[in-house]
Amino acid sequence: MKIRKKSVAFAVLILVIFTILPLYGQSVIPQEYLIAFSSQGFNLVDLLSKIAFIGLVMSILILLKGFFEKTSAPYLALSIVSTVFWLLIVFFALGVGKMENLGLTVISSEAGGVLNTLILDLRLFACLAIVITGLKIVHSILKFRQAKSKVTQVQLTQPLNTPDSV
Amino acid sequence: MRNMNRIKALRLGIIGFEVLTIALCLLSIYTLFNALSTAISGGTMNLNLDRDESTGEWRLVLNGNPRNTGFLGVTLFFEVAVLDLSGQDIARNSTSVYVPAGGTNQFSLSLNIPPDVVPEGNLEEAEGYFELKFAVKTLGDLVGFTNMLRIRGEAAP
Repeated sequence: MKIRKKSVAFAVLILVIFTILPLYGQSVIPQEYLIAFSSQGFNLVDLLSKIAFIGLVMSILILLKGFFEKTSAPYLALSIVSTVFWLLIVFFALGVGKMENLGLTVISSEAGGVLNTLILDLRLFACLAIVITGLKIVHSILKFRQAKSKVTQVQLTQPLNTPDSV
Repeated sequence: MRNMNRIKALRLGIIGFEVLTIALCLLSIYTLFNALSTAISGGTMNLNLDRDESTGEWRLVLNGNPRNTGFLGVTLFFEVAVLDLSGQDIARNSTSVYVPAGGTNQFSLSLNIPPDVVPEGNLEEAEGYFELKFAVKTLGDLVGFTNMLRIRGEAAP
């Protein structure tokens, strides 16, 4: 089974940036910063772990895509899965680490009888990202169908061009 | 061939849509945080607290002249409230003001606090909550940032 070198290189790059660096970063960040962030209702270690997990899944998907031909059904399936996974990453970024919030970030902290709540509403961009993902999936399917029909056309015309058929 | 052109057009459309979305996202986030830092900076707001001696009522007045140095217009929303210990409203008032890009606008917000909730006329010893809500919205109020502060007031022991 052959694998595209470009896919391997890209997968390694993603793994280094999104998985190895955040995991290494956890051990480098001073404890007082982590305590300060968590007192503000923001878990930095959890955020970095989630980024590392995203990086791992992304590199696996890129690596798997490298195994298949662009005209094969598994390649199309992996393309759709990657597109949906990118959408989850957008939700993750818009929700500052909480993808289930779909772009609505709520951070609360309480100290000395003062409750401070911060709300960042970026749900518009989550909606636009859903539309873009839908369009990308349609594009992947159309491209796959076109590539498939090209291959079929080549297979049909090939026997006519062979010396035996003349 | 016609199909191929359609696919290419769709691809270009998606790229254009993505670029537009990213640009709008960056612009609105920049505008929100710019409005947060400049609209409520020193000198643009003042808070007055007076007591009407005849009625004993406290009057809190927030005047502002916020400016917007961002690229998009923003709507600023202010709300002040006094609540009792069970969270029920005693007094609440709010206002919102639209500040165009590169412009300024004025607003005024007042809140009357009834004398019976302030023991012996001393506001600092009033039991309950003081709530302050500030919101900045942009892009047709579809994108926004809200900060809500709830401060508990306690009677002196």
